[in-house]
Amino acid sequence: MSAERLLHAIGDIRGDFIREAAPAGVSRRRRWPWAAALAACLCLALLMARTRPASPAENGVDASGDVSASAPEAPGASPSGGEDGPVGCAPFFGEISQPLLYWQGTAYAWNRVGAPGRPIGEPPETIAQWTELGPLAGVTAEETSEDLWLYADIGQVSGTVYADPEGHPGVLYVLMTTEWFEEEWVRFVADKRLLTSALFYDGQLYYLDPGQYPAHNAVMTLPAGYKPVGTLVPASDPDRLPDRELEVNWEFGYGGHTLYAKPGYDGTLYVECQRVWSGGSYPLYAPATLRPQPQP
Amino acid sequence: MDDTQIVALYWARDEAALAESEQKYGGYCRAIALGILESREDAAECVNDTWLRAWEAMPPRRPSRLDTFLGKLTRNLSLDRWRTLRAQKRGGGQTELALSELEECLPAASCPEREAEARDLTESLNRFLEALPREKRVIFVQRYWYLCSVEKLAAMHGMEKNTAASILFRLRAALREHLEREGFTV
Repeated sequence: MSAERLLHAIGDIRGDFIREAAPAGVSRRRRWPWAAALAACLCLALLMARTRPASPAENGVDASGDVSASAPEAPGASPSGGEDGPVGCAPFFGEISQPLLYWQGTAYAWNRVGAPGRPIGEPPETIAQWTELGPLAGVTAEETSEDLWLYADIGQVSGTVYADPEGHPGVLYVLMTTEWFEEEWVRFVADKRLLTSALFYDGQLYYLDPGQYPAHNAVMTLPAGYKPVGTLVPASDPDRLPDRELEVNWEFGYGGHTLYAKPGYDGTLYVECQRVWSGGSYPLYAPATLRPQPQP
Repeated sequence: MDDTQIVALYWARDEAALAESEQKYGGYCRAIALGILESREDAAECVNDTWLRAWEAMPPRRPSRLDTFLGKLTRNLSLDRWRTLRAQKRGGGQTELALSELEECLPAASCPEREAEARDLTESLNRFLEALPREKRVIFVQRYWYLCSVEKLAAMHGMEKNTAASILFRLRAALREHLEREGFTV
């Protein structure tokens, strides 16, 4: 065995060994110097939150996908877990648990990425017709179910809340300013299923990978027995679950693509998508299942 | 921007992925390349190549941790460049250079058996590292992954250079024993 081969093999050792040994001069984050202090605070908050007795209700989301109104999720719990988490705790949204906004006894979960297919911070086209509920009543790190209070440990926050209970039940939009950004629209949803991509086929909702296009679990070869059953149509309103045949609520990518089903089997469908390569493109097949798939 | 969003940009073939990678991990990757190449210009080129490789790798790859993914790319590219530079330096270097060029033609690297063997070796290294006390493991990885000099290691760990060298000597001996025990011919 040559030393070069050994050196090459060392290059592929586990990521956690590489991270723990990053020399002090090899900084992964030179920007955001304030982040370290905030991360320390969040770590402390996480530690304190974890010392509370837990109950099943504290998951915050029930089996139907609704966000529980009675027992908000403990703040600071990283959904990405230890191995996938950044170095220590990180103070960025998306890396901590979603803040919850309460209105009329219902908890709405933060979804800053916005509606599928829209850039971050972009409101729905119809926002002018939505009802202004008023300003955020406040933000608190303590558990609360008070109207228009934001339950989160994220510092100074202000904003105006909009709803369209008739047209878009279960969705709120807030024109929000925080310590991280100014005057951006943040979507909050009461139905967890709106956080993922879904399509409607044969009277049932199927869920695609909640990540990006093409889905990370897409396969290169369509499994045997699958036949094309139609072309997906982008939903005109991504703030509602699709309810028309072959409608998909995540227009970014999947609209216009062919859906494949296996006759007599409703467990998994496949949506054809394209992997674009510098030399061209070739098809991949993204699975859609009857149950929402976990976040990547 | 978090890693998931940057990876999503790569998958969406959005060139903002390169700028975001540079902004978040440019310093990290440059430091790795600089440790190997000791030339700012060469290191900068390797880091640029890293973004290109990342662009080519995603999709289909979807790394859960972008820092180590990009770091590994930088390390491999820097080692390749170092090898080429070393070949050029050796006496006008035509023999070494020709050999280095011919290496690219060898199919062995893509041979499934060789790849499996390389994976086994990496797994064995992981087992070796896992069994080490943390401080020793960190020193080993800093020396042989980040290619830090012994002087820098000694300074970072607040020890004499000779002590650092002695620890590395014992670690190499332990690794040799470990690899022999696991059936790798040294």
